[in-house]
Amino acid sequence: MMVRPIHFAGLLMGICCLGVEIAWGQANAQSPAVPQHEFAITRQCINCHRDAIKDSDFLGDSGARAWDEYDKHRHAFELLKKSPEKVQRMLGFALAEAFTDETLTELRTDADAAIKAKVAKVRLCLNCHATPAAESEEQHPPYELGVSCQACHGRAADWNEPHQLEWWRLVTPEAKSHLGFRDVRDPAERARLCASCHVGNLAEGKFVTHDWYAAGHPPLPSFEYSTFAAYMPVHWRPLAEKPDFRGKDQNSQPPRSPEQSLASFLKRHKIPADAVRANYREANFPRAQFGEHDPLVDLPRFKDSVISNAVVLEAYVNLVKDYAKSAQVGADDGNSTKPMWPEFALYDCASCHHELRSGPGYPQRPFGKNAVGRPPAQVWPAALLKLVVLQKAQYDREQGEPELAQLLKSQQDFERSLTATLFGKRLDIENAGESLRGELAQLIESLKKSRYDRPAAFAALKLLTEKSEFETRDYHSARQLAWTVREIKKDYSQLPYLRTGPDPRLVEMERMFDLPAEPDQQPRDVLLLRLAATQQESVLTHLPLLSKAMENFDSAKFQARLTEIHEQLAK
Amino acid sequence: MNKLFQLLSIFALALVAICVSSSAGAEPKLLGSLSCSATACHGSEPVDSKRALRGEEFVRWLHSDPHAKAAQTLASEKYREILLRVSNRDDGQADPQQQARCAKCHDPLGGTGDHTTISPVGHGIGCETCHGNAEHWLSRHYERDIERSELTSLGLLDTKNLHVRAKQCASCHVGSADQDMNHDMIAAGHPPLRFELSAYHDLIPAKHWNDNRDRLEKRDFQVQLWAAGQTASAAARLELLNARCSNSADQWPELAEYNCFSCHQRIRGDDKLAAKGRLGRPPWSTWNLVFVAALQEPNTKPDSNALVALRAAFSSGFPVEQDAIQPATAAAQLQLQNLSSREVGVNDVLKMLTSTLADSANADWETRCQQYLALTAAERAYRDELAKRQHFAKLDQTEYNRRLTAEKALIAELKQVRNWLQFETGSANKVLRDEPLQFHEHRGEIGSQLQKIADRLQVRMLELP
Repeated sequence: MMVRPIHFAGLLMGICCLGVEIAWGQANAQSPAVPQHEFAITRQCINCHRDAIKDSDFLGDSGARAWDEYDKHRHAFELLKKSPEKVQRMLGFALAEAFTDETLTELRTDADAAIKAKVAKVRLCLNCHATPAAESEEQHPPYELGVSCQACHGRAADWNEPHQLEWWRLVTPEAKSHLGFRDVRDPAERARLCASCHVGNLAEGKFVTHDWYAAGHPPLPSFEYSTFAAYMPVHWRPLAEKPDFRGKDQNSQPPRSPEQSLASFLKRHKIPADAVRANYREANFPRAQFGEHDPLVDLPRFKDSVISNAVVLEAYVNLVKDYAKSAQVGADDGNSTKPMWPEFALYDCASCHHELRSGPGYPQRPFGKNAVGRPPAQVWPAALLKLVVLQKAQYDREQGEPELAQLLKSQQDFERSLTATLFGKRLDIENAGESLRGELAQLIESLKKSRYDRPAAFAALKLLTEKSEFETRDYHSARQLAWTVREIKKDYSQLPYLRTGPDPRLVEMERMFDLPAEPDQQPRDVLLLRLAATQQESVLTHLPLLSKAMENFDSAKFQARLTEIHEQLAK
Repeated sequence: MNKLFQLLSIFALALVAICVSSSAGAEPKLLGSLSCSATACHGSEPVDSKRALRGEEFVRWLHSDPHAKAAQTLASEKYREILLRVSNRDDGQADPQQQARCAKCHDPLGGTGDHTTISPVGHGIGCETCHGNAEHWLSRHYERDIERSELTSLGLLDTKNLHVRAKQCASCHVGSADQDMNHDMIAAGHPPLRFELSAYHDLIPAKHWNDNRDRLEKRDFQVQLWAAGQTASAAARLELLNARCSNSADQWPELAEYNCFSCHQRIRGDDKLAAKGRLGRPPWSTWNLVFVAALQEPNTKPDSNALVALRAAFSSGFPVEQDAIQPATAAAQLQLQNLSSREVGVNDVLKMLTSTLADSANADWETRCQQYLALTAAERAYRDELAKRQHFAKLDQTEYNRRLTAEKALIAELKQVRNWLQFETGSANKVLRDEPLQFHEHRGEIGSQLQKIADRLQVRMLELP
């Protein structure tokens, strides 16, 4: 068995030398890597957020505790330690070889090229399995904490202090982001953040190659933000369920800090004075933009689900496009210093890993009149494109039709660019990907301002369950659809966002796609909508279940179930 | 009457002479299977279905040879679906170019692939497809004293020569420069080609020819049939590969060159299977090529073996560059040309088998199937040898019966291996997701089991009087 030991590292260095525009793991690749902001001490985050913040009317009471005790992201790095053989097969060397000691606390900084190469390769793991730090940074969150606070909320050195003050909620998201604080209240920003690992992001060095899958990395499942959040469990509350916090709508003045004037404080923190608004709403959802629509009462799961369904396609298209742009053609002998073309992981897994039929029948794949015998684009990221576009038009078919036609055309062009020849022509992929990405980015911007109320949720549910509106022959697309229906249905039925205990209505809703595997059996989760979400459950042990669900997926039964749900809605 | 016949013969001869002189180098004309089917020639009713007699060829072919149904295949609904899928045209119509592609193997007589009107003999695969276009030899081949060599110079193919026979079969069943059944077609629904000559002989019930005389007269006929198949298949495979890697860059790599089940497999999530070669990249298919290296002259050094070099070139990565494969393929083709004259016997096969088994500890399904098929051919040849010993009275009836009974246990063990290699019952008409489940369960023991059977067969060969 040959595993290239210096592939990725060499690739990073190769790109630096050649000055290729988009580099694999650009953040790490550019030298010197100077991050815009520095890390704060993670312990400090946890100390405050572990329990209820005293006197806070905005925050929940145990953000860090939920993360620490129940959230799988906390154990992302431990996973690497738990399967040393698997990781070694992926890397070509033992994980510990890149670290200074067996506790895997610090990466080695030796000047030796071979060591450097190993460290660079391990950084590609850490980009998703820990809170990634730049090469030059000595101060960083411990890897052993996995994906910790600052991986999602942003590097906190510059905002750690001001964010503790009540008037922080009067600062515009743009000004906060200048300090390194990521606006995870923005559903698109948040979904993009998740998708950077759960789908991939080449510029951030987050990408699972087919080599890694073959060496045992579990397949990345399709991603629907709201479902994934529901299983996490969440350590936040949606705005719609937050009690009336101070400064929400009523104007409030930043309290004067005892030591210094506000002006000097703002200056010290590089916050422009005009970035501090009269109230939370004006800072985040100015009436000038939203008018009569009150985004603070938008149905949270519905909004998240719709937007994340657009974001996953954007992330996927970006990934394929960036890869096509940066990859090199030629025989991949395993020692190459560049990302090689083709990369199987970019394509629809099921186009190869499917049942072969011989004799009187053969698989329906590829869908959409793509040329046979060539791996097409992944199906699931685009599965709910129609929902997304029609949400913007508030489910007015006539109004949404032109944009829908345009986007479907761009989506088809992108797909065709992958199947015009075997693996596609890279320049065509790049161009088609770029125009689709642009259109999606615009769509996502307008979706943020769209209205997510019960009538819209009802219309969305009707559309989603309508016969032949969506691709349901592909397992992952069907699962994406089922997840989305469930999440929207929860909001439509006005179930509380936070689970405070077993709720029979919630349990019932989560079983809405349960079907008997055999006619005389009890209905069960044949689609495997449940995620291996607790810290006790592993994606690896879940994998045989996933394989089984994929193999036994019955599109006709699923379609029949959708129709039943559709009919129930009509009543 | 006799005179008339003579006159006709002369006339025919003259015609042949004219044709030969006027169209030197051009393909001789097809005359059609009806030219052969007269009752007095090849169209008499079979007497005993188990024993082919001269004169019954056409009727046997018509009634029980799968090739006779080639035209019907092209008239089927399934063919239509495959054709439309591979055409993939926006107007939903069949692409005439694709149709012509299918016709190369399925309809060499009609040549158009258009089966809107079905004629059972004017279409499909007929006598001349294997025996050669009859324009120049039809009127001569029944002459009493005509030499076989003269007939072959007129275009009759000497299918008694196993190498000639194997080459004819392989041109469709493996492929050739202009007969390429590629991955696009497989994806459209055409079954993949997995040809092995001696096993495919079994697929023709009530054959229209009789190999018994050769089995009696030639040493280890079954093994020679197998070897001819191996050589011709490898040659065809390389010819096809040469054409494929000379195609435009858009058509490369050709996925049909790779082992189907390296990509088409379950996502298992277990990593117990140590992959061969590079992880995550498909290996070059070993089908047709497992034994060809061993069939090379025994003195050939491995590092001068062009085929080994070609295999190495393929395992260097994915996709391999056309420019690197083309010269390696040409070199391997050249080397293969020297193979056809070498005669191999049972003992040679067992030796080759032992050497391939030795370096295939974790072999894939394709390799194991070929090893099994080789051993099966050797076992059959052994039984032929037993029968011959009995026929020539070197073994008495009791001893013959004893040895034949003893052979049953060995056959049963071979059958066991066959079961392990077989796809799940009925799966050929349903679905294959992966290499057979049984194969995976017994992956570790198939090699040693084959070796055990080979060793025992070797002992039995030594015990032949």
